[in-house]
Amino acid sequence: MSTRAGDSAYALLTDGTTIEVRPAQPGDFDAVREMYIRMSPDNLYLRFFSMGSAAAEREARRICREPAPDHAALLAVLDGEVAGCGSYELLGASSTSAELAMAVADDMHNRGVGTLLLEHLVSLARGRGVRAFTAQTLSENALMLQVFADSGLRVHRALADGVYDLTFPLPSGEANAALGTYRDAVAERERSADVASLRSVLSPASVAVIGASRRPGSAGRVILRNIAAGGFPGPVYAVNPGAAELDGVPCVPSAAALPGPVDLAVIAVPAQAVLGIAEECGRRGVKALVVISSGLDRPAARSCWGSAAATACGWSGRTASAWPTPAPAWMPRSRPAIPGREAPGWRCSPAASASCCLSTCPGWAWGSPPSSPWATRTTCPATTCCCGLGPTPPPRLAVLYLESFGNPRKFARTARQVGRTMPILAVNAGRSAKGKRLAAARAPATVPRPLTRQALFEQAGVIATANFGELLDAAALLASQPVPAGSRVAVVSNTRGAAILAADACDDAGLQAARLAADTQRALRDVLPAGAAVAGPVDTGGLIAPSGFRRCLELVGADPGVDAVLALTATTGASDLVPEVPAARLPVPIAVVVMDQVEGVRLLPGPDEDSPPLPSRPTPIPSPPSAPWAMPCVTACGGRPRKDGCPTSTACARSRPASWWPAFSPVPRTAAGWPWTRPRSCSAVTGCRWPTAPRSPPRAL
Amino acid sequence: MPLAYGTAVTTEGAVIAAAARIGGPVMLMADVPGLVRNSEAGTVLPDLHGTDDVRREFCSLRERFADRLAAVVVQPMTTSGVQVTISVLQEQLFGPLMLFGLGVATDALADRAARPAPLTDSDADDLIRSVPGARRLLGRPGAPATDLAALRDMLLPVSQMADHLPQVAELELSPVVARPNDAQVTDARIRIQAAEHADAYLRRLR
Repeated sequence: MSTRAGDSAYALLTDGTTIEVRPAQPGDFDAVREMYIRMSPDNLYLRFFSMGSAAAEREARRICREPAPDHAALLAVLDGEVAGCGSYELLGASSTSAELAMAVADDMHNRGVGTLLLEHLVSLARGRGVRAFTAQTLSENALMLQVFADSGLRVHRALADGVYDLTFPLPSGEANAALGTYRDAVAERERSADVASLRSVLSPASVAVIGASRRPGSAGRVILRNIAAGGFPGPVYAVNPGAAELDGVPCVPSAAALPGPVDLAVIAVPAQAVLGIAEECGRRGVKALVVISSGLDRPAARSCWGSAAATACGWSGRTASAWPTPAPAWMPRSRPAIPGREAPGWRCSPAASASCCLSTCPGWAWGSPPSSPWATRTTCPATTCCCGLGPTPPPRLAVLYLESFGNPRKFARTARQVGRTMPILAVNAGRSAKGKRLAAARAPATVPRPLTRQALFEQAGVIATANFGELLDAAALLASQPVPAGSRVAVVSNTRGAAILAADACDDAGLQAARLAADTQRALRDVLPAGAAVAGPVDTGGLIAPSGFRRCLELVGADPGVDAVLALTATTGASDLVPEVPAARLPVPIAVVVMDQVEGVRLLPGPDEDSPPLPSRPTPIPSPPSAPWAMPCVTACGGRPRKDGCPTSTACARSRPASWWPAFSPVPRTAAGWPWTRPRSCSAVTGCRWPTAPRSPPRAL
Repeated sequence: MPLAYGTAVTTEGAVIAAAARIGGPVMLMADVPGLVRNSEAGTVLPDLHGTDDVRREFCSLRERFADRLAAVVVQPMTTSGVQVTISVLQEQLFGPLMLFGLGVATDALADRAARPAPLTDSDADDLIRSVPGARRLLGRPGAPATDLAALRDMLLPVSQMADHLPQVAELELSPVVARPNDAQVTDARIRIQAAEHADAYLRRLR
């Protein structure tokens, strides 16, 4: 999939507006000249250091010439008008420096057009081997100087006669730290733009449902009914030319006839009608679109970005079945997201207002249809936006459903960043050949191979679970208890059989059944009747008093060789131990197995407001896969928030001096390809300079 | 990158002289254009002791490959250590992937793990430890740990190269011999393919 700079692309401005960035063509001359003509004299002076229309005409001609290797020009186009242009010209035929020039239309200042163009030019120029940009800016051109200063690039400035001479080295392989800083800056801008663009989707002030039909059960009608029944606080409109009212919502005949301002339009019409309606919404000033239509192809989807001034679009294939349990607040759930698991306290974050595919309804409703904006907009930036958009207090964990990836590398980077503040859980869907085929039918190129997928999850620190049940287990544990520091699990049970099975299950799952310290064993013997097993696993015997059981848990949890405690309680008739378990105060995480529990997983409330709830599962005996719980998932390195940064961030590169890293010169562009190369010719091809260790005469690599 | 010492020679006399210079047991590796994996093609002849062995095996190589034999590389035989493979794979959608595995590249592929390039120090450590059978590298009673830092220092620049040069379609350092005090590349190959520089981090909707 192409990610080259220089092709036409859509991107977000700081306020979340979608804008097109594309190379300038000779046919754009009039539009570019128009932008310059409309610029105020002040701005023209700042750009050209002089007044007069001749300069503008010359500049438009320069920008719109045929593309060539020694220059490039990009336009930012919004609603068919040029909002800004940026270009670079090599300083000489064989130079690796280029002079940069940028201009933004008067009414588009302070919206991030200049920064976006600069980023795309940097990407384009880096790919073509340009090493540095130079630019001249009047000292009073504060806006442009700010764009450069905030870009994340290292800028060298020299002031002479009121003009700044700016030089920015473009980060490349050798200057690794600079590249990390730059990418961090770009990622932060992307995050805030994503958040801005999703605001209208996730918490709109007003909603219009276009294509709400009279037929009950149609996608549009179901959504309308959900919104109406869910008590959406703002104005709701339905667009249906043939009805006056649906589900108590007044209808208008077309999008153009919508009475007030509309933040979000949900378009549920056949694919061939989508584009026209999207354009109508754009003209109407609708801020965001969600499109529910099967068979909408990619070009049409792209056209929607361009035609509407809308900020975000969602696509779904056959969504009618997936849609009735949506995540955002404006679409109330028509049935519990997890049937039978709506126990109070289960919600990992204030769920009703959860901004993304977080909380109890982990992304299922959004479906993440691949090859669509949602594939990226709700998976990768969703993890991002939960920081910015999310309810307060911030969510404890993020839950994703993924079967394909729009931009895996960006996902890995974002996930890793988010993962430093909260665990990320994902259902690893499409692992089997058949499952993969089904996923690939929706988006062939974006379904990675298992090895790749695993690599991605592991690097990103994402906890990948095999199925939804495992995911719920892990989520319940992470949402309520701290992350275990290691894999030593102490088992405490009131029946020996359960203790044995739990120890077996721990072993199967790659956990260690902790062996208790002598001090702990001594203390346990004082509490327990003679004959109880105290070395670990601990068997308290069936006649233990509730307070004694709690004391055992506290003793075991205080043992320095224990990273987590698994308590198992069987009903013996002697006493009810379950209420005692949450009352125990432990420095390590604890989970409980209640042998006769009916629910799949539930959270036992803590004894008081401050104490965390406690996840509880029924007996592990009949279900070995999730036996000692989610602990293996959670104790795996994924569960611990990563301390180190992103692979390309500054932290990594700074850990070694720049001279440590080898230098790589680009492979000549004329290279048509080679077969497997014999070792001795490798260095000639790549031009690599490897650092070689001082040792006996090395063989050339 | 620490490479095992080796010298490429073409004549029988030179092979024997090179082997004698090395002293102890040696290994011959045929350089035959077109053959990708030496160990698959049977062009690696390990553990040769003395002039007679070397001469006999050199003659057999010359017989088998005749004119195709471009040279023979003479290397000292590395007896101890764990053989591992460090490789790079460019995936169309995914970008460069670093692979680390036990054994030589031809062995079963199950014994390997992957990470997207480029790697941080801790990524490299994770990668080494996440290979099934990593215990052989981490040491156990009676078998000391191998030089993990040396392996990491090999992984890092290779991952940087994979990130910076999308034209490196495939690369294999195999086998790399990891020993308690060092790690050495004994054989390497690379496949180059024309590729556009792709910027995965560019801000754009897709």
